Amino acid sequence: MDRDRLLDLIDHPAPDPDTPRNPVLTHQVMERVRHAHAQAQVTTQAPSSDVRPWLMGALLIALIALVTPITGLVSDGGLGEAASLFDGDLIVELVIGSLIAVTALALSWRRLA
Amino acid sequence: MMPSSGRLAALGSVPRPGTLAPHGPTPAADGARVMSGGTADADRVDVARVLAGEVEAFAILVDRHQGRITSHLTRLVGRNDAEDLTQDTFVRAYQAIERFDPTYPFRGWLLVIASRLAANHVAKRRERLLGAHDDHAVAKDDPARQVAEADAVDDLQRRLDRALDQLSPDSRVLYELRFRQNLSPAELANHFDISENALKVRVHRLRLQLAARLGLTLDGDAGEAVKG
Repeated sequence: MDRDRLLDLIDHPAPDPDTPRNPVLTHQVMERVRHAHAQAQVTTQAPSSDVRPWLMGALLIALIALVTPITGLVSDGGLGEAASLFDGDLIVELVIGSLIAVTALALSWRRLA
Repeated sequence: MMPSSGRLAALGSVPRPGTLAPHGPTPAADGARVMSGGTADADRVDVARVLAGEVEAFAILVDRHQGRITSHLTRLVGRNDAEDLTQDTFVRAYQAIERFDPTYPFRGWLLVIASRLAANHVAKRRERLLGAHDDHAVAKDDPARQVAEADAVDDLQRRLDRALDQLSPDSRVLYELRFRQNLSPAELANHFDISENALKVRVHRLRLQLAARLGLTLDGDAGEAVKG
């Protein structure tokens, strides 16, 4: 008899009555929920949606700044003569182009921040 | 909102014809424990409102389900910690509400979240108090056990409660979800992200383990209980 009852108890444990509703608990939960909601709103309002035009523009400027000296070099002398034309003027152009690229990226990064 | 994840070790029951009674009360036998279609529908409506941005609608869900969550947690962690964990449960649920699958009852989802918190809480408490290996000593001082002892109406119930206390936190939680809260195997398998068969196998093992602790032996093939 005890064995059968135990087995029945295993499969059908006595249910616990629900705890009476506590409005204080609800209030405390909602305080935390509202805070979480506000935090989520701040995160979603970060300027992520308007970053892309700036970033794309900065990347384009960087690419042009880097490619222009090389393109001019190639169109003037051809690829075969590129190495021989790699002189001081070209280096200066490349440095200036790199500085423009870095500046453009830095400005866009500040915009992101 | 931050998604939350959690997978408890899943246990499953394997009902076989001519064996023990079906696991958990049938809806007809214990309708009070079964959520009405109206409640489930109301939950879906309120969840949809929360997802649409009506934060205050979440308070309705809290009011509707806090009683069950708190009583479930009381059994797992004791009265002192149950309300704190109930709060944590609802906050976690809010943060993960976009991942709620409306195919399944909202209450079941809440109970799983609560259970995971309870299992972690109990594990940490045991480690903190007496170390991981002294489960018997911990069980004696376990507030949840004291609650169960106080509420037990007879010796058999107390024996069962003691056996339950000796289960690992994950096993205990799964027993409560499956047998006392009556979450279906399909529902539990979904929440724990395992197959329903895997869940059923583990619940079967859990029943065997529990029966063994009570001095009973279940014959796995026949599914009948014989005295060990």
